[in-house]
Amino acid sequence: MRLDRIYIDGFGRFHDLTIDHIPSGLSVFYGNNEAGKSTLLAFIRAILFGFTDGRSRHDSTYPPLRGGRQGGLIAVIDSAGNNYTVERRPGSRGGLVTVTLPDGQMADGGVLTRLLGNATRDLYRNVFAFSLAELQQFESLDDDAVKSTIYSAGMGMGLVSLPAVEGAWDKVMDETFKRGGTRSAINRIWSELDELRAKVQSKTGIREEYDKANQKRADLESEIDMLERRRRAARKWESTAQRFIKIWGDWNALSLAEQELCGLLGIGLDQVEVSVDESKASAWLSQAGWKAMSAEQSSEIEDLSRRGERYKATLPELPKLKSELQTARSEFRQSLSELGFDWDAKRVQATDTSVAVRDRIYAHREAIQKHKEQFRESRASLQASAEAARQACAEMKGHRSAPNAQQPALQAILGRFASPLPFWPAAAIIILALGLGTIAALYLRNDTSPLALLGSLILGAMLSTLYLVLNSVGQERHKRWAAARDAFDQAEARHSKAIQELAEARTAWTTWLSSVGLPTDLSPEGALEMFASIRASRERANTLSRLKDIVSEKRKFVAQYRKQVISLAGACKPPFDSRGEASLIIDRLVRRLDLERDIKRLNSALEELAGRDDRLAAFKKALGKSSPVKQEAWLNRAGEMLSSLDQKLREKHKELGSVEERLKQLEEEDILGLLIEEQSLLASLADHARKWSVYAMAKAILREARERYERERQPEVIKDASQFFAQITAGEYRQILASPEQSTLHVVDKHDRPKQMDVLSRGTKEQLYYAVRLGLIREFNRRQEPLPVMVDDIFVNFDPHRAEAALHALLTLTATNQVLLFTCHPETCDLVHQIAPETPMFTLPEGQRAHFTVAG
Amino acid sequence: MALRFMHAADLHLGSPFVGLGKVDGDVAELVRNATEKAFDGLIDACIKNEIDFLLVAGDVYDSADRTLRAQLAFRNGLRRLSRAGIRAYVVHGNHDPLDGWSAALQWPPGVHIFHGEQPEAVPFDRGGTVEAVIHGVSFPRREVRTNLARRFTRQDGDAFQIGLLHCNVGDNTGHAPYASCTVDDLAGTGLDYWALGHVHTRKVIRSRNPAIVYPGNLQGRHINESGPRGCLLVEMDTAKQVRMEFLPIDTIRWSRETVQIKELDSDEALLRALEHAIEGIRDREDGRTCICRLILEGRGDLHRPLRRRGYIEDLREAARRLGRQLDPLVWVDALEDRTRPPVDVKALRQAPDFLGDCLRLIDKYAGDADHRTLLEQCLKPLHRYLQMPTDAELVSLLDEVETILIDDLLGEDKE
Repeated sequence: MRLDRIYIDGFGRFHDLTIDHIPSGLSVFYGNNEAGKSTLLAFIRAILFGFTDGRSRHDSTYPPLRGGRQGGLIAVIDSAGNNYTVERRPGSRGGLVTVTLPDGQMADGGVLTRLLGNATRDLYRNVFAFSLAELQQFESLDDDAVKSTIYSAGMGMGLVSLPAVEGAWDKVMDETFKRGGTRSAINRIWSELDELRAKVQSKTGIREEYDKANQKRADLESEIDMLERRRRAARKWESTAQRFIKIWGDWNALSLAEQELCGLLGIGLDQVEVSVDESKASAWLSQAGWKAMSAEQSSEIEDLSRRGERYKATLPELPKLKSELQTARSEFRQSLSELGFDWDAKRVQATDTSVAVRDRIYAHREAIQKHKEQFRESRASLQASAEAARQACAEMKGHRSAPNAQQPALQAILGRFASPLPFWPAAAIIILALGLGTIAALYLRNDTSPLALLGSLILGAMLSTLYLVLNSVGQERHKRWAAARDAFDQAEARHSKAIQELAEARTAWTTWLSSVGLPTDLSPEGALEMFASIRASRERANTLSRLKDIVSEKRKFVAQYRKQVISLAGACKPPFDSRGEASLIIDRLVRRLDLERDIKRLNSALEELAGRDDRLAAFKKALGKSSPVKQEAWLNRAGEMLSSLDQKLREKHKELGSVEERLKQLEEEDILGLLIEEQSLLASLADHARKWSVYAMAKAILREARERYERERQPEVIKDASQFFAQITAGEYRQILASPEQSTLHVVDKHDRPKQMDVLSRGTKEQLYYAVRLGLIREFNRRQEPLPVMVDDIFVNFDPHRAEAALHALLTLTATNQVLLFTCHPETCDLVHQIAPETPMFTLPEGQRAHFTVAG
Repeated sequence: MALRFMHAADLHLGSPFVGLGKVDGDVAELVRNATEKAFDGLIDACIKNEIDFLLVAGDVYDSADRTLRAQLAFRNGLRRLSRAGIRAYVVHGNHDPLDGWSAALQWPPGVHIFHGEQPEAVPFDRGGTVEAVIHGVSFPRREVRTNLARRFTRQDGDAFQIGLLHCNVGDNTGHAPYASCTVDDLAGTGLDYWALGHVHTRKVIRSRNPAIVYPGNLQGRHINESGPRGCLLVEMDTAKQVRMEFLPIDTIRWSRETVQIKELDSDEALLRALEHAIEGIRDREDGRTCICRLILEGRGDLHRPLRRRGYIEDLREAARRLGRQLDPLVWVDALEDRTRPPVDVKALRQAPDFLGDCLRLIDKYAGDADHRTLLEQCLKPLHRYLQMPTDAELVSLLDEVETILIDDLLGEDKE
């Protein structure tokens, strides 16, 4: 395939430019710097391989600088001579390409790809269209890199470095997985998985433990169940024994009560021995038709019992009361006889002995008494006045003889009173007066002692004084005598009146006595005494009457009580023995009632504990066969058993608790979390493994392709390249050697000496690369449509000889490939002109075909 | 009288989800409880539908090891059923054969677990009348390669006769060939209904005379068990007509969704497409939490950025965030990049260059299994530990190899 015509529009500095009639062999495109050589090269690549979007570091987008719409076309002719037009405008993915087929039909890019022999842009750029820049890359590359770069070029890999790619892959693979490594992802995951699986494995050990614990739980539960049952049994024994013990007293009491009742009722008496079985006693009772007393009967008994004391007390009272009655009766009769023959009970009762009557007696008595007093006073006053009159008379006659002289007058006065009153007080008074006078006369004569002397002196004084006084009163004595006679007369009158009033009072008294039917000779005191006797007699009558009542009432009570008791005893079932004293009967009835009540209460207590009817009967039977001693023993044994069982149960429960706790823990132990984690690791492992596998395979394929390349294609390339290299170096170097095994590239000089790349000069290295390119082009030509070759000032560093040789080598390619030589060096143009004078030259930027105008 | 029962199988209690990557705590909790919750859902459905009995056709547990937790969960569920007066008939399958560890648990009344080796016939009676006979047999051990179905025989009488078996009908189920049998083997027994288990995808092999049915598993457990999972509510009338209703009771749905990048030109567009896909999943799986795998496919310009280191992981995190915000949430477990560079691979393959050589080699390997020794050699270091990929997996790996080679060898100026 070769270029025939180029039309450029709006691409960099070019606008609406046509370069026509490009020959099939070599053409030179000459232009100064910035004339558009690189732009033209870029345009050709853009049309053939697509516009670049500017993201590549190798190409700019060449926006239109001089107007026009970016794009254009290239007319090409294939090796068979068919004409195609390739037209392209920029756009996505290299721009829209249109290919006009030789028949004028339009086609898509597929045709173009075929025309280009499936070459890629990179392949084309590196092998067919290269510049000094590509050659100069060698400067900075080491051996392997050079070799690789050569390979890359040959492999159509553009600037991609195979070692770099492989290196990058290796890095990824190493990060992912490394044999024997520890830090790579997969290795890490592996060890995590190992740990995790060990954990899972260790957890599966819990199964055995769980089963064991489960078995242990079941065993413990059945043991506990058994212990509980034993405990319940022991508890039952215990409570039975407790019941027995608790009820024993009642039971015994019941038995005794029933026995006593039997005795009381006279039932089974012939059989009663020391102790009668309760059941026997109760059987007797029921056989005898015993019925507990009714409520009415009970309350009647209680009533009788209450009154029983009185009854009992009354019985011995009756004879005593009888004798008391006797006594009272005789005493009453005695009192009547003391009052008088005409007194009887009726009169005693009828006589008024009231206070009013007694007050009258007292009044009479006081009146008499008063008048007696008045009589005595008047008489005394009369006597006193008679004395006073006698004295007054005596005084007047001298005092020594006076009493005797006056004696008869006084006697007369006194005599008036003599009758009722004794004479001795008046005589005594006179004797005393005479005695006193005698004693005084003795003292005055006989006493001669100093004391008697002093007394005589005092007495002398006193007698002289008395003498003086007696002398002064003499005149008065006469007057007093007259007065005393007057007083005597008055007293005499008062005395007469008193005697009269006394007599009147006595008459009133006797009158009252006869009015009340009493003997009139009674003094008030006697009357009062009489009344007291009447009252006493009345008392006796009353006592008698009261006693009579009492006796009667008591007799009645006793009779009634007896009657009631007998009737009650007869009404009982069976009838109660009513012989004997009622109080004894009632005592027995009370006892019966008490026993019946006890029996009832005790039976209810038993019932409460044991149940009714049959159960009660069974319980009683059991009671009959047991004893408190036996039951105490049972109780003790049961208590011991219970405490031992409780202890065991506590232990077992504790053990069960810990087993259950452990089971719960085990049930919560869960490996699912670990399994999930394992799955997550496996997922991650799979991802990494896939990644690693992909790269490992990619690498394997890469290597295989490379080996194949090196084996099958590289030798041809190297052969051709060796020829070109020898030609260019004029035989200085004979051969290029590339060994796939050793991965090295070296040259052999004319002396057959191998030389490593690094000893070659820059120019020689460039020439080597140039030769390899030409070899590659040859190699490609063998397998595909030969493509146009475009070189851009590559001879700059070549010496003139080698430049010429290099140009010759290029010219040999024109037999198969169209060659476009871009240059800005006139000497290059000259060289071409010298070697191939017919070579057309296009000037840039005009794009016009021109004749070589040799600069020199 | 008509019968009404529930047919379930392959509960796989106590099983982790296979191939699920790391999940966040709350999602982990959902995942952890998924099989048990589904089983609870089964019990709820049994009680709610007032069925006569429940049939469980094997693989109650995921492994012969039968985690204690799984056994307790199963026991507790059956206990609930028993309290509701519903009986349960259970056979064990290859995942939970009788010789596996069985914790000493007390089964509630009304639960019958079938023995191994020979089928048993257990009557289901109501009010003294036998209304159905359930024939069943458990796997005594994992490896049961004999044809168990042929050992079943119909009992005399008019009662419904149901076969309960964990087996592989036909050879092409995609499941391990345990207790394999044919449809004819099953039909030949004269039973009325075959309640099968083992195949995880619901499948009515025959709808009548007899009905032969796989209810599928209760809860999908990996990405290849996507879509609704559950049990079958079966009613048999006196004419032995069978009516089946599928009840989806899974709690988590697996879902796979492909996103084409061909027309997408930016990261934003890609993210929008992912969001759309995730919301689509949410809308599709009737209110269940979903675990999804998103697959990017197609040739496009976005291929190159996707290949950048860490990019796909970042994108997955972004997608995960989107899914997490939804209610119910969609957990993006994985985001696979299966995109291709926007190149004409066919042309590249024909190119006379090294890449062309490589691509042609890949073609050769993909097309011809005999040439894979080299590849297997290169995978050996790793696959000493892991299983070698299958042929199909190798071909899929080669696709990726091709992509890598094109990406890395073609350089930046492609086309």
